[in-house]
Amino acid sequence: MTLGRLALRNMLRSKRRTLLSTAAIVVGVMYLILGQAFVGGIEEGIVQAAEDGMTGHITVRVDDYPTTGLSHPVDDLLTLTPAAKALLDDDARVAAWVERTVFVATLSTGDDSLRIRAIGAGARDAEVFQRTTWTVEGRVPETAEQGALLGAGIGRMLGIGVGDRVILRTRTHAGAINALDVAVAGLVQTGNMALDGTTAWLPDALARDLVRAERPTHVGVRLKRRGQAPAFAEALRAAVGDGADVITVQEETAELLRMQQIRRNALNILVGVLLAMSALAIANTILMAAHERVREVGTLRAMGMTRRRIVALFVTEGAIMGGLAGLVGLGVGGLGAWYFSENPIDLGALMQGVDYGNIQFSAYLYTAFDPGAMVLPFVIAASTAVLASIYPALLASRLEIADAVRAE
Amino acid sequence: MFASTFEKSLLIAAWVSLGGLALAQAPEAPAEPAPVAAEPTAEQILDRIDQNMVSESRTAKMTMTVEGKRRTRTYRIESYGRGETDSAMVYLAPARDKGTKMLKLGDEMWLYLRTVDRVQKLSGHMLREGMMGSDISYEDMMNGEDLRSAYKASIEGSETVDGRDTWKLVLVAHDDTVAYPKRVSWIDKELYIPLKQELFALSGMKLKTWTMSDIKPFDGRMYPTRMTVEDHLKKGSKTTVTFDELKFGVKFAREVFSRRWLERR
Repeated sequence: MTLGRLALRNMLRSKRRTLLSTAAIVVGVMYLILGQAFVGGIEEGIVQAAEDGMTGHITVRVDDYPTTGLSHPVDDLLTLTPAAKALLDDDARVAAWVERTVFVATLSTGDDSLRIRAIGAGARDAEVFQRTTWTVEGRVPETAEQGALLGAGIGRMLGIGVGDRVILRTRTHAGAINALDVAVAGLVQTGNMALDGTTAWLPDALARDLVRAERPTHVGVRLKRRGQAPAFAEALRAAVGDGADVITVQEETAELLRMQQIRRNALNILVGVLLAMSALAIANTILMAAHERVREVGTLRAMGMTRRRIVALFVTEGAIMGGLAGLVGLGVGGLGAWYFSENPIDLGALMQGVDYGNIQFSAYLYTAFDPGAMVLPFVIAASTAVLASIYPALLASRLEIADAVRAE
Repeated sequence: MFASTFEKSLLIAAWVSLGGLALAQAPEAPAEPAPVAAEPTAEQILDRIDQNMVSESRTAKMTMTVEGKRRTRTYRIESYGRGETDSAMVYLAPARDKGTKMLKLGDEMWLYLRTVDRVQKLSGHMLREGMMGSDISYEDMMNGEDLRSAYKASIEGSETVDGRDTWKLVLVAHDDTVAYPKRVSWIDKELYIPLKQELFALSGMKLKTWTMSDIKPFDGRMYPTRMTVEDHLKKGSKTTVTFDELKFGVKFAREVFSRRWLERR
């Protein structure tokens, strides 16, 4: 009888105990896979929200632009050098680029008012700041007469519906107060909480009529791949010269991602504790099995089985337990990770009313499904079980044949 | 210069007109009005207003009531003004805001927030930010607008306001750097005091209406002691400033116009 079959038969002698011991490993593996997938999903959500919201893959803005609070001054406007324009037009890495006029306005309904961020941009804005998660009630305005597209959160807060009229009041680039009565062309749920409650999108002509600016405040760039951003940003920095900042989406989100690393570390510690507990449970299970099978071990030794084979027998039992539990955990965790990557949890309702300032954050909680990332939890689980079985295996192998066969 | 009292929000107006924009050359006591022709020009009217409303140094205690749709807030404020460029103000009540101070020295401005015990110098884009969420920027407060150079004034006729005979003055800004590109003012023909002013946006939309009333004598000057502003973009919103004390030509302790005063609790 091979070691494997012998080990399997021994495990099945006490099915309930084996099941309980392996359950901890199943939970540990599942928790690790799902947890890591959710943390990965949140990280991707942060980057995606910045990418599709305010930053693109790269954003160009004037030097010393404020990055905290709802602050978008129009005192200084952006001037792209001919070299920068040529780079943006001709470089093969650039998928699209667009000029934006971003400013702060007071939106009044007559009864109530709210300070909002207004983004004025042309039709190509959607090529840089993708709108795959947008749900629009009404329409996205294309001309100044059609009016503004408001974040759905603004609509909820001020009781504004599609077709209503609001007044947008702001400071012009030169400093005068300007105000216009505009129609609400639509309400948009972007999936980015920082935008939904604070932002309005205006056709470029309407924004420039309000701010009276001939040049933009921002330039957004989308590359063929996000990973190209750091290298392209270097080239763009050299081209834009002084007076403008070039920021990549990686730089813009670095701080938030660092905070996510803390969450990831906390998750690893929790899983580590869980796996340590399951290791002890497995060690205990195998130790008990060894004690119950002292006479059997003595008989096997008397029949010529070496100490090493006895160790191998018990370690195989641990490996089978760890392997099977790891596979079940991987299956359940993997299924969960895949499900939530396809069906994100909408946290929009929970997150309403929270002030996010300039922090771009997705309202959808989803997982990053990566089959390759599931191998490690499985290997860790199986290794833990194998390591946990070594001690009881050594104890069993050290039994003297005469003592073992006499044992009650 | 046209006193800036009715150029900004009432709080700012109160502060600036009583402190921030006192003219260095203005006399301590009201000057004898220069003889004016039977129908003065718009510029002559503005000069006469300044003669009545500005002073080298002054202090005031005022009550500001902000009425909103949901609640009404009342503030007590004390303000000081020295020369053309230095001014200061401090909140006396309510307790939540008591001790909050602002100081303007020359073309620099600081804000002291008592709740966080921190002095913040206002500079760059922050000067364009609305004060306390309003659309009145700190920059507005810093730059006492010289209306004679910022606006082209013209008399559009005579009208009666609150039973008083007034000139209707239309002021149109020379360029877009002025906060309110157009103002229409009604000036009391006898007292040379603005009784009402309407402020317009660059688009021509009427934004605010200011009214001044309860004119009383202070140190030999006639001065409106109650000012009300109505924001036309916010129904049911009204702010009223009432002057409880007003003194001209006062001597200040030197410390009032210093960073040390700002940080002193």
